[in-house]
Amino acid sequence: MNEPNQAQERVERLLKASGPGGPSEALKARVITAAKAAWHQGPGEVPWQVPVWRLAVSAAAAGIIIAFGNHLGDFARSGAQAGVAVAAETANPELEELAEMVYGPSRSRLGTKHRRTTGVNDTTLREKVERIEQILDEMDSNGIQAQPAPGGGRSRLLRYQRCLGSYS
Amino acid sequence: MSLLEKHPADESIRAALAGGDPAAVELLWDRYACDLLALLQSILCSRHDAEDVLQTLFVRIVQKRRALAKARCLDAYVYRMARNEAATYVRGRRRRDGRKARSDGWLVPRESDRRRYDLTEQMQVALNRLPRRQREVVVLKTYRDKTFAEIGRLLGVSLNTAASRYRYGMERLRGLLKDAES
Repeated sequence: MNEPNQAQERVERLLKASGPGGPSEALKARVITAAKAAWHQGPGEVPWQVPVWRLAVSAAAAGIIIAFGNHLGDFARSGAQAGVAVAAETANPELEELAEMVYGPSRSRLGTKHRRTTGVNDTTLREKVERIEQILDEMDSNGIQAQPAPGGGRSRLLRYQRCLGSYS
Repeated sequence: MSLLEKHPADESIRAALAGGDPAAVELLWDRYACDLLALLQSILCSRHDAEDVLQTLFVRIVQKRRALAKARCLDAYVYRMARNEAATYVRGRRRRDGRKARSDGWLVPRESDRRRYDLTEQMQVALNRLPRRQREVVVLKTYRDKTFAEIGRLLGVSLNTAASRYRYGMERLRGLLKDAES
């Protein structure tokens, strides 16, 4: 027999030399008297209505908490979006729609923030576009040909911008 | 007796509980008192506290007799109730006495001579220092002669877990007793 087993047997022998005391007659009489007294009082189990009632109260409390949370969230959001509404009125509705479609509310918030800092409204933008169109029409009617770009990466708009200066 | 086979005493207890017969209390006592007192002493490390909890447990069993009569494993249900009552008692004791663990004599020597008393005291100190789960298994296996399968079923753990707890407990006891000797 190997050493660990011998050691375990020794511990078991030592353990068995003593043991937890058994119940005394006095304890038996005490416990049985108490248990029989409880027996005559009837079963102390809760009727089925009690857990159902507790469940209903819990559900109602949860509903109230959720409704209150929603209300609080709406209230906080309406306060935070007070400035956004002004920006949204001045922004181009098509751009606004695009931003919201692709990226959702966070992108929309970023977009409106950016628009507020640039300060360009749709009337100004429309006027500028009309003016560019007018310039392009005049250039076409005057027979000005667009020259090829000297290097890659330069847009036509830059060349027209040079022309724009002469008309302003 | 196989694990699925029901103890004959449990069937008569179940019948008495279901039939509203107060003799069920005596039947319960005869079947479970020794085992439960040993288990409670191993959990609480105190004979006095274990006796108090045993009384509370029997009252609770009587109050829940309808549920007990319908229990699939009567013995496991009773053991679970005992462990829950002990846990409740320990929480209350902690509130009253603080975190300090309380223990009084709960091991008694088989033979009464001076040397045995010293050894018993030494064993009790070592057992008190074991983790509760290991102590439960060691006590049920060593003093109540339960198999690991029975212990596993009664404590709601697998056979292997019960065996591991016993092995770790014995290893730790060996170390503790070696320290005490040196």
